[in-house]
Amino acid sequence: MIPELRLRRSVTLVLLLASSVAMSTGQVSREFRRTFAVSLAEPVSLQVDLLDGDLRIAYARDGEVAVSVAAQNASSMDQQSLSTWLVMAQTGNRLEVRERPVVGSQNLKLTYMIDVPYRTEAHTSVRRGKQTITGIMGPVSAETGVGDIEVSYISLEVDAHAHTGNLTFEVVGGRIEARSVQGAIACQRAPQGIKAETEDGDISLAVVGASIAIVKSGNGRIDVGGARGSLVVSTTAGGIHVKAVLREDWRLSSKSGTVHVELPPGSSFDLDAVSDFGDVVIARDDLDKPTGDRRLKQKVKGGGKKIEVRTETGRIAVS
Amino acid sequence: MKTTGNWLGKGAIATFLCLGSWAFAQHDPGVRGGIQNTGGGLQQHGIPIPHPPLISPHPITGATVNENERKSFEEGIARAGQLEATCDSCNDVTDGSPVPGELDPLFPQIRTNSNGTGARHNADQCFVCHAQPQLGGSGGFIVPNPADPVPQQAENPQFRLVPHRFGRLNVVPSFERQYGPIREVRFKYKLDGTPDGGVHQLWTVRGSTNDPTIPNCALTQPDFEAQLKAGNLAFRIPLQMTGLGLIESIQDREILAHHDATSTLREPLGIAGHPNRSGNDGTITRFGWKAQNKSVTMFAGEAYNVEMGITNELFPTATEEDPDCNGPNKPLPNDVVRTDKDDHDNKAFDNPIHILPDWMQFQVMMRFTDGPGPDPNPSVSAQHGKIVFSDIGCALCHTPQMQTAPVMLSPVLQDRPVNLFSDLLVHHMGEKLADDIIQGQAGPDEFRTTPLWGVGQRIFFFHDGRTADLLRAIRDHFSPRTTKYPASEANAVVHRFNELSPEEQQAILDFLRSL
Repeated sequence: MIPELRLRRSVTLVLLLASSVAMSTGQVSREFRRTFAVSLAEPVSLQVDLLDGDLRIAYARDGEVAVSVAAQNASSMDQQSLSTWLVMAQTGNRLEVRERPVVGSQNLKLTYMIDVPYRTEAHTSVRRGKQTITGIMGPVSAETGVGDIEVSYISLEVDAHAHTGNLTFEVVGGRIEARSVQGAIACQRAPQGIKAETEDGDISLAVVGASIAIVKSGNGRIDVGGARGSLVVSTTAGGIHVKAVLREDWRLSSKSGTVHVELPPGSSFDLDAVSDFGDVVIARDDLDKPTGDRRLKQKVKGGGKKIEVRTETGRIAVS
Repeated sequence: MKTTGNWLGKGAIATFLCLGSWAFAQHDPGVRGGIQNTGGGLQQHGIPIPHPPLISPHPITGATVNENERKSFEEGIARAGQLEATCDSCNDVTDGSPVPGELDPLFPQIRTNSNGTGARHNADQCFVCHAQPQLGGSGGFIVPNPADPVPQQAENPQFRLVPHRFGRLNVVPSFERQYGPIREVRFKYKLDGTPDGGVHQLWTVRGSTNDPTIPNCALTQPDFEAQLKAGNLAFRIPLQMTGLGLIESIQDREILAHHDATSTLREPLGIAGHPNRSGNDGTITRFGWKAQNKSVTMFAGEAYNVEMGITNELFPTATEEDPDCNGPNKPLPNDVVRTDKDDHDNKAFDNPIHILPDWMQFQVMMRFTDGPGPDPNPSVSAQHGKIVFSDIGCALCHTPQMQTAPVMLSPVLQDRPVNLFSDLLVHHMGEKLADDIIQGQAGPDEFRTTPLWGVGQRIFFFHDGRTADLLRAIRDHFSPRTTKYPASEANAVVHRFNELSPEEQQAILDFLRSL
């Protein structure tokens, strides 16, 4: 079965293309490229561990993996150096790309580009640098020390973690787990939802399935549009704004930020909104005014899915 | 005894000659890589069909797609892979979202992730008819029972999958065979005898189990069998979409220059050819079997409406307007630029990539899809065949290479060679291929020189998919003059082909299968 494909499992093509381009500044840019043949019969498993540099993994075509490294400020390096920094190993459809610590490479600006088949799962770690992963089936797990992570057009699950850096997700078919210590998280079109946690940073979600968004400290805000599942949203000092059709229960809480809920006219829902010390402002005809204890609990149009809003000192607005 | 001996001797010689002839008998080596290892054949093994390749870096400058082009390409694959529901709000998962759990979440076969299929249509998904050897290719085979744990052998998706998906009640016409080509039909003439030429969509949405808005739909299909008997059907099979951005980037002057350059060689062989031209601006049209479409944008808009029945800005009215079969809430046109930022159920339309409708994103994807790649290690015979192909005159119409425009907005497209093997002109092909359809300035027996890149992995040949045998395809280029049609312009070249030795004919076949 699939004889031709089996033959292609072995590493067949190794291409070393080194070029140098004199820059007007006198700096030199060098590029190293190596191509590996892979089989269609199995997914490609890609493991990348880098110390310093930007990484881009992207779909290009089936049947091969192409690893390119571009270096700027490389005047002191010979062309061979680039290839010796990287350890690249292939076993069947499993590829490992690892950067080797090299003395004197600190001043270099490195960019790693890995073109892969659609059916690729990627596990990446970059100590310092931006990661972009796009157009593959997944799953994807990506970790950065310092640097942003952008993930888009992934069909299966994504797990991304940055210590200091922003996380961006767009069109992800599977569930997303996103954690950042210092950084914002943005996500669009993730029907299986996201669990987004940041110590301090904004979170923005649009067209997402059942999701959890938590800002653990600081002033980070959470903005949600087009929620298509349940929501659990919490901030400390930052505000919360949710604008969507209510399809599942929502739990929104902030210690001191404003919580603003926007629902289409004619929606039916159960609202339970409590602010310990802030105002509750209603801008809808189908809701009563809040009672004196800054609490509004009401079934609208016969009731429906639950919206629970809590804040200690913040304001609650429903429109 | 002497007589008997002579007979035996003659018999032995004849046998030897027959065997010798058999030993050297030229034959089509078949789909490169094998049908089972391409397109839907892979699905049988639980392997997703490969995706369209991103356009390769510019061979001279090294320019690649920029990040916006890349994202548009990826979004385009997601849109083109969508499985369309019929009513405007009954898709199973969010529009354009991958569908986890499917063999390929971007090419779902079981759950819908878009909507808008017309009351009449030929298909409910772009890639279902463009999956050979990879998504975005020509027509091939698809596994008919994708929901079942044991996949059946891949087959023509028009035989079972599309006509009966989601319970739709369609009668499959006899010309859609289980292992035959995907065919759509044009009617040559209307009932009153005047020319028709239009596509008559095969299927209706009657019986759809996933559309509660059309319980009273009672549409019936045209009587295809009666039309078939009357000889009133003209078949068309799907063309590949790969590399179309490169073909679109060829200037008219390049096409005409190649034509002019071969005039002295063509004339003695009776090869003329002429461009099909736009009725609006007079420039050369080049897409489709008769080069009737001007651009990939036009092709995309038309395909969405004609093949899937999805109305759009280019084709804003439906081919079937029966309200019982369109539901009460289906907007018209259906797939349009999305600008409603205040939509509470918004789809992140503030992102420019999400604003474009499916059909338009689909055309962006086509623009940045690479051309079909040839065999990187062609056989000695194939390499020889390339020379013979040119020597006998095939390359006079199947122009091996043209160049894209010198300056374009996208550096990856500009000023690069396109190995299309077509002059992009239409030629008289005579009675044998004539289908009596007139499109623009392409007459009843005229067809565009089909680009041969990718022919090595196509299953069926000619506009009607009449054969899967390349040798027959070559020979069917020959057609003598009749009272109704001129002779085929390919006659002299086919004659030269027939005079080649079997080895040289085989070399041409091997060469073609290397493309």
